[in-house]
Amino acid sequence: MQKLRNYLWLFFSICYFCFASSAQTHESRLRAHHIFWKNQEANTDREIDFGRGVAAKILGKYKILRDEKKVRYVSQIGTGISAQLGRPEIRYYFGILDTEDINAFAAPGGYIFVTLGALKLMRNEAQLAGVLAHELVHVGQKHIIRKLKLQSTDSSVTSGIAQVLGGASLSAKIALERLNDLAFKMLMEEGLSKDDELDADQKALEMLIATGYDPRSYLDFLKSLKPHLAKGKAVVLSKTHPTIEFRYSKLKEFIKRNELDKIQGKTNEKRFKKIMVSL
Amino acid sequence: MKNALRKLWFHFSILICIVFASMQLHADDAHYKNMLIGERAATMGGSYVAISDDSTGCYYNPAGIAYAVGDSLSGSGNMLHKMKTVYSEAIGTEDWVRESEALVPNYFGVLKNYKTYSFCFSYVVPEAFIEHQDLVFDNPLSTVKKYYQSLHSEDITYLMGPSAAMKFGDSLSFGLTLYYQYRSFMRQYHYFLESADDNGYEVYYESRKLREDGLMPKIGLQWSPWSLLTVGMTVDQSVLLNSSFQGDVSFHNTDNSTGTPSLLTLMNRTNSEEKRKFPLHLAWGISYFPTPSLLYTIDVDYYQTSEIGRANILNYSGGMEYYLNPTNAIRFGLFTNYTNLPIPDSSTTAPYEYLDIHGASFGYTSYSSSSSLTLGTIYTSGSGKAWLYSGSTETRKLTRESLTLVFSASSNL
Repeated sequence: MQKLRNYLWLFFSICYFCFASSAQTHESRLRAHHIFWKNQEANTDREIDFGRGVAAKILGKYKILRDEKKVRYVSQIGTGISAQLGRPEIRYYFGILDTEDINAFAAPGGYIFVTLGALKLMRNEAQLAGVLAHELVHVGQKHIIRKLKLQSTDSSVTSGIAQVLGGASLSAKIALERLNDLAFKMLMEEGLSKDDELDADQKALEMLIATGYDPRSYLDFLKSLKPHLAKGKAVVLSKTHPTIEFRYSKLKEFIKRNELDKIQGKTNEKRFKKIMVSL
Repeated sequence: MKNALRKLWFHFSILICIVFASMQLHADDAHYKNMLIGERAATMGGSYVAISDDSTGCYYNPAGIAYAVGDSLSGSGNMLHKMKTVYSEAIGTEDWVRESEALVPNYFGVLKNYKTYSFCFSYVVPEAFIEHQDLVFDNPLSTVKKYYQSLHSEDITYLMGPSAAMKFGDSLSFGLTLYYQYRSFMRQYHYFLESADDNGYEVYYESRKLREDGLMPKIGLQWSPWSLLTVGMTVDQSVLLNSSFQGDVSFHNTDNSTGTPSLLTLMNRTNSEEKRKFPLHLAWGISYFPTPSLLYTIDVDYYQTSEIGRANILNYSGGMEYYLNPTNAIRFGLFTNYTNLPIPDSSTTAPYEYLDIHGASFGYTSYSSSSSLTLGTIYTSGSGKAWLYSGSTETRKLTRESLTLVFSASSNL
């Protein structure tokens, strides 16, 4: 009996050792790519959460236009062009802000807004696609997050946000609120860096070409902004973006350098006017 | 003199028959590790018993699939599997070169996790020899003016079946695979021989077909005694349920040398249902995961023979995996593929081939968020001796080299 008890004790000890000796086994077996993509996924979720807060602030400042037909149209054009961005993990939301101020905004995580004032100035669908593409590039390239200098020691640019959003403490919530304020201020007052704006312009042009839109239309739209800026109809835009002359000349250089000047594409003017007729 | 020449010619005919008699019913049943399977496993020398945490684990160690990250769909193919065997000075002073070339999709697996259980279905081609050869020898011997041979052979083994694994806590898992094993072999061999004095001709034709059906159950266990270390063990043995062989041979000889034409014609058909006996295969592996970017792994495979005339053997393999960055990994591996034939001695006679093979593998994988793509290469080389001539202890040098290009892709479901 004593012998049996000893065997049982030995058996259960071995079982306990096997079961409990390495609670972290599964984690340590994860390879670098598992960890990397797991973090990326978590960071994307946090980027979306962060962007939602920034979008809420934009909607706190401007009223959203409740015109289903126009919003659906803008969403369709934006969603179509977003496929060129290479961030399929993000779902993009598009809205029209009910303001005469000419502008467009992008909040991290895929929240894109264009103002009624900008839509009124546009002459065709290619121009709308160009403006949306410009904003999409800001999201795709995480320009706001990069500007907030949230880079950590590792390669993930959003890990700083991950640290803030990952915490449930009061201090983490305060830090998040502060980040939202900074991002909102960037959109409304400070703007992104000149390089980021030029990057967005150039990539937008590439996206237009890739989707078959007329790239010249985007340049025409930029040109058309000039008199309105002078009249003070694009206050925020003039504060937050490089001058139109500068952007226009840089884009012309880009087109020449890459021999894109002969490329022609669709403008879908008729369809655009049909939808936007009531503006 | 004439008689002597005729004798020589006759001996040459016998030689040819015996050379090809040495090509047994099985393209290479003297080695167990002729093709490496999978994405990571193949490029780490097939050392995977203590890892096996993807659908390839169904083949290497079904217990490992319990640790697979997410559901997945994997497939791999050998873009090129080329093998060259050279028998030095086998036909007169000329080498006899045999080349096998196969382009085989050799692995497909789908893996699904459900709570602490994992399920998998896999399709594996562990052996594939495809040989098409047409050779012409002019004056290979003083008695032989022309020798022509044509050989077409295909020998492919398929495994397919389900696997299941269960995790006990985070450090112990158990798994089971049940493969249906199917082997298809066919060979057509034909030669034509013309004597030097233009008075004799010989034509030989042979056709062999074999089909085998069986089961291969595999049981596996994986345990992590320490968070950075995993050990694994598997046991499997194939059992044939059906084996059907049919062999046809026809031989025609014409001899006009004596002035009176002499003809000899033979035709023969053989059928057999004799089942091969497969060895009991035990495999042990140990893997060390020092960082998420680095791992080392070693396997030992033991084959306990069930057939007379075979030897118990041990094969060794080892590999490492290193991530250059989170989305790019490289792998190296070394392995042995020893012959299961007993060590030859002075009484060894033809047909017999004693060949030990060593191999090295290298691979590169690129990972995206939901898929991976692997390119790799496996090189093997071995040298030994071949006993080719009937009843003779005379040997010829035998060398074998193979090169495999591996292409694999895997996607999360």
